[in-house]
Amino acid sequence: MAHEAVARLTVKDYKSDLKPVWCPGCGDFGVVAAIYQALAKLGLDPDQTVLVSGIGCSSRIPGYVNTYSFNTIHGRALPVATGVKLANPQLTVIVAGGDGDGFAIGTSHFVHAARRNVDLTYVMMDNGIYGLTKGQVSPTSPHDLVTKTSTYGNPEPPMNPVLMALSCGATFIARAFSGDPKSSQEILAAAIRHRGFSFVHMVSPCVTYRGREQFDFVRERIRPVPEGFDPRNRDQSRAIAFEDTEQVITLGVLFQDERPTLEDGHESARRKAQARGPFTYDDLLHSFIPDYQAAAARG
Amino acid sequence: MARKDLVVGMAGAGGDGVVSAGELILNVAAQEGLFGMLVKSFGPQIRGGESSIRLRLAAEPVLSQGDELDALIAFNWADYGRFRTELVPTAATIIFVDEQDKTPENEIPLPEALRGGIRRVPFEAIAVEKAGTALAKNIVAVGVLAGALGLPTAGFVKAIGRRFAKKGEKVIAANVAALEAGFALAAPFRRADIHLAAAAAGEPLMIISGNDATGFGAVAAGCRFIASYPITPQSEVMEYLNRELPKFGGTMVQGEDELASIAMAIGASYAGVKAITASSGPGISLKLEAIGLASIAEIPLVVLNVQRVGPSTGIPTKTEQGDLLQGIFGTHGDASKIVVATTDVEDCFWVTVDAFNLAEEYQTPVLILSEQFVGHRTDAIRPFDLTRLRVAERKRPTEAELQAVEHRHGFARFAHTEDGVSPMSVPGMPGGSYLNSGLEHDAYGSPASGVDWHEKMTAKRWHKLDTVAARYDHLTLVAGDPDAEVAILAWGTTKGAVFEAVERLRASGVKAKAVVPRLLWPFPVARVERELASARVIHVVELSYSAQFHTFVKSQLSAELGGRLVRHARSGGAPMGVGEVLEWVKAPGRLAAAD
Repeated sequence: MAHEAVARLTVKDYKSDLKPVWCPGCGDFGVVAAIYQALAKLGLDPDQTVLVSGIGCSSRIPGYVNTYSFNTIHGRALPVATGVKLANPQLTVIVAGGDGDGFAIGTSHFVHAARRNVDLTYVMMDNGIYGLTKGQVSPTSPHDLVTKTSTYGNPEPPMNPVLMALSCGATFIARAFSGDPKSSQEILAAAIRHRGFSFVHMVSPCVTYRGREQFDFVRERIRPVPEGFDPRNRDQSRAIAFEDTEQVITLGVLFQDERPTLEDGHESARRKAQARGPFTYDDLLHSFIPDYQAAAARG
Repeated sequence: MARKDLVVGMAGAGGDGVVSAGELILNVAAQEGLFGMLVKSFGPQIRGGESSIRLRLAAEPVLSQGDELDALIAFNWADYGRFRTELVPTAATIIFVDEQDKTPENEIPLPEALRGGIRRVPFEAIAVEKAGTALAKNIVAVGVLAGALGLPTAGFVKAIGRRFAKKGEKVIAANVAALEAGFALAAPFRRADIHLAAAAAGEPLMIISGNDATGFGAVAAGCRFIASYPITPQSEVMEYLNRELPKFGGTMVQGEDELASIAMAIGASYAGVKAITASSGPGISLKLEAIGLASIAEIPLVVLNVQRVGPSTGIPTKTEQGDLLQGIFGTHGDASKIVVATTDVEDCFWVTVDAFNLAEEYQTPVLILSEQFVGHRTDAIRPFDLTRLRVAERKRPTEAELQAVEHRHGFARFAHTEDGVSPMSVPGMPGGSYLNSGLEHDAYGSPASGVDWHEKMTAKRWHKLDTVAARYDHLTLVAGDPDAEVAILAWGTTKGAVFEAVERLRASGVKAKAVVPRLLWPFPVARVERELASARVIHVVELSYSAQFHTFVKSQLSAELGGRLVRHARSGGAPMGVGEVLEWVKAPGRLAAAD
């Protein structure tokens, strides 16, 4: 059972003894704290939980959480996690990474993980900058932002992760802000609990390359979902997904739906395949001998 | 003297049924206990284009595609023309063409000397007359070949009965009539020197392609996960596993790309399930980064490369041995890994089993270098002896080891051991949680950018491979005279032509041997040097224009042996032939024993 509680785990049970490499004031501290809280709240067994990441500042997170963790290569966290989940569907799988990892070098995997509805939680920590490589423009950097690779202002518009998740078929979409740990942990817990592909757009400022004003910018624009909002109402979800986050940043569960997961699909394939079984390796061998029955009868 | 083998070629347009005629003959021959090799070749069209086959049958296992054609059927000269370099007739070849072909004599794509001997046969007219449809012309052709080469018709009649069983007695009778008409027609051209059927042992054989054998080998080795992206000439492997793995509780995923596919396979193996990703050159180039991840993260992983002509898109449907150095050295950094190669269809099964065992035992990526020539061809061979199957599992921590884990640090996944292989826990194993990483790390998997850890861990990952060559000594194949004066060193599918060349050299009195390592990395230096010690000249034969194998073995063997190497490298496309190997080896000044 993936979400079965084990004997009273607390936040410290999920903390590893590695010291984060992040800069003082980094938004990612709030995210890892919210992950500890969410895991403790759900009482997840660390030995039944896998945290996978790619490369980037935020992708260092697996080292700080005391579960089975795998810090892989740039952009490939989602397919690695998909392999983990298909190999053992009992595991709780969480993927963490940044905007560059998930929406530049790994974009195609996001599209297909959402479409496949793999039962995992993807926390995309969005600071709109490449921090680990020290300050280059990212696919979620605002238009006109000056960075080391956009000296005269970003000539490109940013992409919209929530709208993309909606169009790709994610069955749980939420937005959280690392500066608001309480709502972040609630959203993360709901995302992990959801059966299917859960996407959390975690706005997590970079104080080093975007400055402290990025926190202020976000704080000035955040708001909860409107009164009476229903994440199962597609029109309402669509309206929020189309919002310009330069103007307003809506936090909360923005969309939710249920449909069969990738693991369900493969389980169904196995049932069909095994209907006339059980099969042995000898069956496979005999399938290559023409008219095997007759040949066997001839001796 | 009765011939022990025969080689036939056939070419035609889409719809002429060339490939199914070849399959029918191979099928019947196998049931009669005849060994065979069926090589198919297609034009570039997605569907319905020209196609050709080259079929060799023999009373003994077939090593190569054979050099000289005993018979050639062209349904028309235009389509044959596209395969003229693959199906080259000689003066001894009986050549048939459909009477309906109206190509002027001077445009027939054959040497002038052979044009006079062409037999014009009404394949299509007989098909229409006997079976009521031009579609049966391939059956007429099968009859003609059976008649000319002395194959018994009884087996074909039975095979036609099975093949058209669903279509009813009338269709069966019509096709049998077409077969017999072809057989009768060929009587005047009967090759009296060929008595193949008499040599048949009557033992039922299996008919299998290299790619299917690879898929089967993966299942038998305990593989339960494949993620791959379709690519020629690999796709049959993922298709086979897509069909068969779910029967054994496994999973096949078609990845959105090559990068996702290898990443999924790495994830599955990290979580404890034996996994493979299969591709060909262009896809392998994309996977190299992730192969390095499996190497540093010490994850068992099998990567299959069914090589094709490169670089870039090259010729997807033709064979080459141009990915050797990429396979061994391609990944960035000092990535420890194991590289093995298949040499024939049976190898595709057993080498794949070995690859999974190696991956599990050494917790490292294992690359299988296969080739289009073996992947796409279909052989009639003895059924695999599954009682020989040995399946290895990775070293896991014991309960006691896991209980001793100090919580704060997690499990020491990369702990020092004598042989360099550390016990590997997998998610779900209580007490076994640890951090794995593509970053250089310490014994607990924690990132370590200090020089000391990098030195220690690099040495660990390489040291663990020290025992591979000795433990997998059976992967080096040797044929011929133990004290040979002439040796041929080859790898991959050129083995067939090389082994056959050595047989012929020995028959002509030359002391010769062939050495074909199927373990390429770590290279079995001691064994190969021992095998080559007596040779005064060592011919290195390969399908790589830049002579990658020659460059590689020269770097591995002693300077003394290196000085005896002679390179025989050409670009791929056509598989290596026995004749060209002999021509090279016997060239003036090269045959040490004779000169």
